[in-house]
Order: sequence, then structure tokens, then C-alpha cells
Amino acid sequence: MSSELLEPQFSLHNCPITAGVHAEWQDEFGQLRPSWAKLEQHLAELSPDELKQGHASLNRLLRDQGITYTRYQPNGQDQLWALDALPLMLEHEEWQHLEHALNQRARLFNAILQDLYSEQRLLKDRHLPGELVLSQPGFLWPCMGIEPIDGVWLHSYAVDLARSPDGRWWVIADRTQAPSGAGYALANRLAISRLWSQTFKEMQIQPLASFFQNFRANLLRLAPTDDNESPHIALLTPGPYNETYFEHSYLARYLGFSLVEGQDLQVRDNKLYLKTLTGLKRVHGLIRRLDEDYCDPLELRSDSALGIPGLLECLRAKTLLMANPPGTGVLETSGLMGFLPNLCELLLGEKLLLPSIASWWCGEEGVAEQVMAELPQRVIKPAQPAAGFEPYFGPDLSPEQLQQLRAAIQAQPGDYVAQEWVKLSQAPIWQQQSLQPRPLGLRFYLSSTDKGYQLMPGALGRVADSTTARVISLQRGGISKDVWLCSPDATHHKVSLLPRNQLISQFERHTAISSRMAENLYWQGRYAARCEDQIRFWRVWLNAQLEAEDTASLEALAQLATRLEQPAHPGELLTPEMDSLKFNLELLLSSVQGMRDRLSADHQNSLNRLKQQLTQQPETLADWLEYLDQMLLWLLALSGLEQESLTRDASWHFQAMGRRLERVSFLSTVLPSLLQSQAGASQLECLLSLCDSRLTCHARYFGVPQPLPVLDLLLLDDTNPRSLAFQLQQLRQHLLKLSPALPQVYRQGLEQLLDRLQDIRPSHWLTGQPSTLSHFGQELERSLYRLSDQLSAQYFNHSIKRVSFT
Amino acid sequence: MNRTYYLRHHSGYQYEFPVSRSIQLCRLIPADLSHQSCLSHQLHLNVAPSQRLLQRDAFGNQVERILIEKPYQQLDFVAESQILCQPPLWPDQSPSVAAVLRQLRQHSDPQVQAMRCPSPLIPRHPELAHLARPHFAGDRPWLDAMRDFNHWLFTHLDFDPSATTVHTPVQEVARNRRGVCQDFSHLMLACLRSLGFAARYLSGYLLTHPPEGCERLQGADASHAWVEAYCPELGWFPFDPTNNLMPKNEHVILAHGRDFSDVSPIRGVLLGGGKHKIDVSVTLSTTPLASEN
Repeated sequence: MSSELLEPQFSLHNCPITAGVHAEWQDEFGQLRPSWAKLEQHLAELSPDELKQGHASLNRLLRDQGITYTRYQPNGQDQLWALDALPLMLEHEEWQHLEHALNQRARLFNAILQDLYSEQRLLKDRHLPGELVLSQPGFLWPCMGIEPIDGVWLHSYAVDLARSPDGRWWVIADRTQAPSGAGYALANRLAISRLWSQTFKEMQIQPLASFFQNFRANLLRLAPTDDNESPHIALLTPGPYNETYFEHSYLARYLGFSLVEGQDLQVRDNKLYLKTLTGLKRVHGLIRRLDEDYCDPLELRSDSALGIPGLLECLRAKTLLMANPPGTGVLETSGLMGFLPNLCELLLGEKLLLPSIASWWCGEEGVAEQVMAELPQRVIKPAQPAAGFEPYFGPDLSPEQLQQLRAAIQAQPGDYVAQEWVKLSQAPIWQQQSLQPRPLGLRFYLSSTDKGYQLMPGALGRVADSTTARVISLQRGGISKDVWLCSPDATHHKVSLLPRNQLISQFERHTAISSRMAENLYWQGRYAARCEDQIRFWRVWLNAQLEAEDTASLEALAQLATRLEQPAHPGELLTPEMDSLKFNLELLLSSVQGMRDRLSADHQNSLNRLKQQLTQQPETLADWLEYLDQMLLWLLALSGLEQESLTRDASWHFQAMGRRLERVSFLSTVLPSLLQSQAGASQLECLLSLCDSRLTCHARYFGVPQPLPVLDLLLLDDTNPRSLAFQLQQLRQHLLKLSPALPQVYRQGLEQLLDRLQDIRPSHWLTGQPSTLSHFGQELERSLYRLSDQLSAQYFNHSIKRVSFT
Repeated sequence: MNRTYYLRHHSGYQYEFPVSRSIQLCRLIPADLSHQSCLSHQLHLNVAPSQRLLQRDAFGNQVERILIEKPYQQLDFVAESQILCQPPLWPDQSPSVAAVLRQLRQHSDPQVQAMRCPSPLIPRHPELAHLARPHFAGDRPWLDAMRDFNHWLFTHLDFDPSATTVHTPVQEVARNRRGVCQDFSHLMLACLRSLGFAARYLSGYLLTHPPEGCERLQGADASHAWVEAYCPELGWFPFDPTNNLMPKNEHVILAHGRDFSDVSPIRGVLLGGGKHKIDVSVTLSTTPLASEN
């Protein structure tokens, strides 16, 4: 039998159908829907091998892009993003209807926000219950009276839709606060369009790029610049520990905006500024991904260390555009849904085009009684989404649980919303070479433009991890899908994703280097060098233990271990103790965390390998040596990347200075310990290995190493990149490169310090007395601490602690 | 009887290291209300601010925004005010508890509705409702029930400054039954709102009476907190559970809000400073105060 018969062509008919739910890919007569049929036709043209290979390369494509999602787990490790290889098809007519309806919903929500933060007519005239709205933690009283630029509260808006068994769309949830996922939709698109590049082109799928271009153009258009300023927009992130941090850095990079954290920003004269290496740089617009109540510790949550004091005052003064401003989260309650049809007629004079899933806020007169009677058929959700509980599914509850829930609703009806339970439609996923149906939810994205709201021609598809699941959550192992929309005509799709490269390069040079980023890079350099030196030390020490021939050098190494604050046994290197290898590596990795937008895929890859190494636990000495070799290789890869792949801007100099300073610190401890006048050959060999200078020494001086030539090589020879002289000269170079940005006072201070280091150099060392050596080592170390402190004071001044008080 | 008060409030902040920059929101100006008017007010600072701005918050309180951009290690706020207080009119009769609750549900004023809702420091909880429910039988006159509940709080909570801090959650106060005026007030608010009533937090001062034969001591008074509850037909009425008082004209109001976080007299953010010490003294008197210098 031939293999073609064993591996049949790709066919969507191989996906099982679940009775009683809507199947996305085929109608009730088993006919494929038009765009699904096209997709099948294209995929069926590929040979089984091509299909298999394509499918298998998906994970590589995802890894290359570094797409991750942080699940809330005790260790908070990044997870690789889960994406299905098979796109979800949407019919064009259907999408047009949604575009119209969701546009209306966005306009309606903007109008509601406008009223809630000014006149509050909707509350005063009882069109909306005050208790429902004002109980929302997302209703921020300090935002009352703010008039956002151009009257837009809702710049970006996401809405979760699902389809009932009769094929109709329903709104399940509204995301108005700081909607997430658009960046993941974009990353999905990049991966899937590459995976099926031929099919993607031939089917003329609508690209997403123009959506982001319009979003970006609108922010630039509305940014309140002063005369002659060009608009500077930044994306405000809570930082690398947020679950969607990947998306923050991805979007910032894609849109060509700076990625900033609250501590990078400062308000002066009611204007917002970014603290950069060259001083304050005005920020005219923020894409806000930090939770709204954390934005301004002066007026909102005073315990927020992530916010910017004075931010709300910038909004009042209209010197800052925010997408979205704080206060928009109030509309995320599902309790609002039942009131929307009336509000739509009242505020827009239109009929609400797309229904929300039937929802009842229990705080209204008589509603709680009704809900309690129908409880076994309902889904019960908290009326305040953020402060709430997981939804209860009526059909799943025991009589006792139902009774408890009834009592709770009766006690505080205003805290509960009941919803109809809709059986979600299903879409095929393609896993392990077979097709399986899974419950589907779609998140659509809208953004404000100069011509009203636009809907992204695609969506973030999400399927549950089992056929019977009721909740789709990426936190709980759900899988995402790219959503494809065929262009109605052949001319429309000519805008490919490619022009975006132009877009980025055009603006990237304007993104400023924040002080925090410089500090991160500085410590990145220091920790990378520290780990490298630490590994070299252990390699030398373990080798000496294995060979165990020269007790004098073993003893010297043991003493050096104490001075370097190293444990007695390599096993302790992987404990979380201070100064262990694991400790240092984790500091290295966390200093990289906050700047993922600057790292290449290769860079990311090397870091991931280091992270993986940390999970291993070697046993024998030989295992340890192999393990350390491997680790060192990845660290050297990092160092090579820094050298060859990073732009020589100010931030690079900080990273390089970090390395140089760390190396000087290492040398100032190691040299006095091992370079004594009576040091034997094997001890000097150890020293040369520690300083990666064995080969040079042997090539240059032949035979057994002698103290004086070794001293020359490791101290004075500025052609040896491991010598002290080389480190100091490089440090001077970096400082000179940076100095145009330095105020005169600091420049003098730093220059003096360097001159002194240079002066001390030859005379002291050539006397060669051990005491002089260690004395000099200490002096050097002290000077370097001072230099490090001065750098901090000058460039990293954001690290002064900010305190809130009430 | 109308009374004129002379007030001096001094808050001194002393820091271990220089503060390089600070911004503060002060709610130190006595409120202008139907039964209280602020005749004069001045806020003096020992460090010259680079910006002072008078604003009004969403609840109608006056807020002074003060920006200081030169280094200091000692910052003194001295607020001097003159206030005219009239006793509120306490009616003889009030609607029933049930009527009040019904009218509140339908009430259209967002400023009233906000005071029925949970707020940053005031959660609603069935157990908090349970604490207060025995006092609020549906057919009781609302004022009687409020008076009873005020008294119940006074007798069942111990005044104990060592038991709590400004950050102690109200559930803990409900469990431990001890604290200061802020805790008494927060617990009262949480209980009332959990039952569906509208009640708000007041910050201000209370005239204290020196022991018989002693002279009033300068600075011996303190900031105070109490509660106002709303009766739809009659308006807002003050209750001071810390002292078992239905305030007449010895309470001076600075600001009102949903809880302490809305009305903190001085709140701010600063850079640097290290450890700090706060020194607060308040003098509230019916006679003009001698100048401090």
C-alpha cells in the first residue's frame, strides 16, 4: 500500500460535529461555508508532507517571535503562546454587519462615559441605577470633570462575542479599561501568514496593518503638541511581570512608540515628561496598559508604586492624550448590558444593532426574586468584575450550593448579575494531525480614528482546551486562533504587512532611552560579566580538585573562593542564596525582562537557554564541569551578540561599562590573591585560565609561566582584552562618548577619577610586593564603587525612592 | 446658639534626609455649609512652594494643591481659620426605617447614591449588615434607630489608639472592636451601607472641654472624624460614634467623602526623605488665639 492512502488529503469533513451547537465551518446540511471551503481547497492542494512540515514549523515561528504569555503561577514563568495552525474563517457579509453594530456600540459607550464624568444625567434621570454605576471600582470620582481631548474617552475598545446554536452573535463581555490582545492577534497573524504564506496570498486575506496604522495616526493627530514639537507617544506598561507584557513591548515596537513604566515618567508644570539620559523629554500621549486606579498615586490609589503623581492634572490641563484615560473601566460590568437598548435609543437615537447576552442586574427592584427562581438555568457573575468571584454555572450547582447562592443574592442583590447560558459555537482545531471541535469565543478590537471607530479586520480567536468546556480562558490552557477575512475585491489587499518595516525604521530613532533602561543595561552588563567570571572560577577550581596535584594552588584557590564569597561545594551554586550562580543569573535575566523590545530573537534564545540550564542539577564533578562549559558558552553568545548586534547608542555604552566595571572588580580580587612573587607555575596557570589568557601567555612567552610576564599580560598589556589596562581604557572611552550629555560638574568628577586610576597603574604594580598588590586592589575597588555611585546619581536618578503619604 | 471658633492646626513633617520634591493635596479649609461658614482661612508654610492652586474635588470640598521643588527636611503646615457654627436642627419626628430604605433605592442624586456604595476603604458585607440589623426594625423612626446604633457603637467599641493604624481594614475593626475615631466612623459607614443606607465620612475637629478648673491647653485638641447619614425627606444628619454624640455646634467640618481616602487632610507624594516624624497639634477655641510667634 502506498503512503498516500495512509495519509489522506486535508479535509474539514474529518472534524467531528457536536450536536446542538453551531459549527463554524459547515452548515446544518453538512456543506462547508464558502470561505472554509476555499481554505480547505487550498490546504488540500498541499502534499501531506508539506502539510506536516508546515504544521511542525509553527512552534519555531512562535519561538522566533518570542511570543509569550505569563500565566499567574507561583513561579510566574513565561509560557509559550498557544496558537492553532488552522485559521478561523469569517464571511465578509457577516463581518460587515459586525463592523456596523460594534461601531455603534463603541459610540454608545463613549457617550455614556461622557455623561458619567460630567452631567451624570443618566443617573439623575434614573436611566441607569446609580448604585450599579457608582459601586464599580472603575468609576473614579477624581476623574469627574475631565474633558478628554476631542471628546474621546474610549480610544480602544475590545468586545468578546460568541455565537448561539442558531448562528446569531451575542456580546458576552465588553473591555473598555485597557483592552488586551490586539498585539497577540497581530503576532498570530504574522506567524500564521508565514506558515501558510501561499494560501494566505491566494485567498486574499485582509491584512491587519492598516488598523494599527490608523490607530497610530489618530494618536499622533490628537497629541497636544506645542509649536514646533513633533508628537511623542509612549506605551505605559506595569512592567515585565504583567501577564501580557509581551504584547506591550511588541505593540510599542510595532507602532514605533517608546515603552515606558511609571517610574520613567514625571509631571512638571502639568505636563508629562520621560526621564532620559539627556534630560526630560515631553510625552504628549500615552497608550495606557497600567490599571486605571494605579495611574496617579496622588489622587487615585496612594499605595501605587507604578503610577505617576500628577497625571490626572495633565488630563485636566489637556496637555496629555490618553488611550484610554482612567475611568473607562466602569463600563466593564455585565450589569450594564440590560440597560443598553434604552440608552442607545436615548443617546444615539438608534436601535441597538447587536444584542448582549441576556443579563439581569439583581440590584433592580424585583429582579433578584425572578433570578432566584430561574437560578439552575443561569450563569451568575459578580456585578463588580475586578473585585469578584469566578462565575457560577447554575446547571452545575448542587441543591445546597443553589441555596447558598440564593441566600447570598438576597443579602446583597446589587453585587450579582445573572446571565443566560449560551452554548458556544465550535471551531475545528488541528492538533496531533487530527481535527477536533472546540468551543469558540472571539475578541474584536475597535479604535477611534478621525472618521469614527474602525473595526480590526480580524480578531483574536480563542478556543477552550476541551470540547465540553464552558469557559474559555488562556489562563487555563486555552488556545488562540488567527482569524481570517477574505477581501471582497482583489484590489483591496494590496497593502501587505511589509510596509510596516518602513514605518518602524522611520520612527525608531526618535524613541528616547529612558534612565531606567540605561540602568537596566548597566546591571545587565555587570551581572553577565559576574556570571561569566564566576563560572570561570568554578571551572578552574573543580579542575584543580579533579587533578589534585598541587596543594599550594588548591589552597590559594580555596582562599580566593572565600574572598569571592563562593560556597564550598558546587551544589550550592544553584540554591537561591545571595551571590550563588543561580542568584546572579536570575538577576541578569530579570534585568533583561524590562527591555524585551530591544532584544533580537537570537538574544532571546540565548537567554532562554540559560534559563533552561538553571533547571538542571548536575551530580558528579565531571557533570558539573560539562554543565559549566555549556553555561559559559551561552553567556559568551550573549557577549558576542552585544558586541556585534547592538546599536552603539548611549544605552550600549552603559551595558559595556557595566561589563568593564565588573571585570575590574574581579581582577582587583583575583590578582592580589594568586599573583604572588613566589607563586608556582600551576598557580599562575590557574590565574591565566581565570583571566582567559592562557593561550596568549603560552604563545608569547613559551614554556612555564613566570610571575613577571603574567603580571605584564594581565595588568599592563592594553592589547589583551582581559587586562586591567584594557578595562580602564575602555571605561574612559565609554565615558568620553557619553560625556556630551553630562553636566560639566559630573564630567570633571568622572574624568578626575579616571585620571587617578590611570596614574596609579604602572608604578604600584611593578614593585610586585604582595602587600602592595592587595593594597592597590582595595583602592581600585573603592574607586570603582565611587564611579558606580556617581553613574547612578547622574543617570539613574529615578531610583530615588518615591513615598506616598496620607 | 451660634458660635464663632478660632482654629489653629499645625502639622509638622520632619525627615531624615532632604526631600527633593513633593506635591501635596490639602483639605484643610473649613467647609461652607448651611450650618457652618468659614469666615477666614490662611494656610502658612515654612518652605515657599513653587505652585499653589485652589481646586474643588468631586464631592465639593476645597483642595489646595501645593508643589514644592526645593529641598527641605522640615515642612510645617499651619492652618488658621475662623468659623461660624450654627446647631443643626434636629427634628422631633422622622420617617420609618423601611420608608427611608425605599426612598434611598429610588433616589436620583448621585452624591447620595455614592454614599450607599462600597468605596476604597468600605466594603459591603452581609456580616456587617448583621451587626447593625437589630437596631433597624422597619417600623422604627429612622432617627431613633440611628441614635441607638450610634450609642451601640460607642458602648461596644473601645477607644484604643494603639489597636489600629490609618490602614487597618474595617473588617478587622469589626472583629477586634477597638480603634480610634477613624475606625469607629468606618465601621459605622460599613454597617449602614451594608444595610442600604446612605452615609458619608466627615473630617474636622471637635471642641474639647478642659477638666473643671483647668485652663485650655494650646494644641491639645486633635483632628476628628465622624459620620453623616442621609434621610431623603430631611437631609444629612451628623453622628459621632466615638463620643456618643449627635453633634450640635461643637464639631467643625473640613471635608466629606466616601471614606478617609477621599478626605485625608494632607496627602501627597515626595521624593527622598527617608524616615520621617509627624507632629500634629490642633487648637480649637471660642476666643481668639494668641499669635504663635
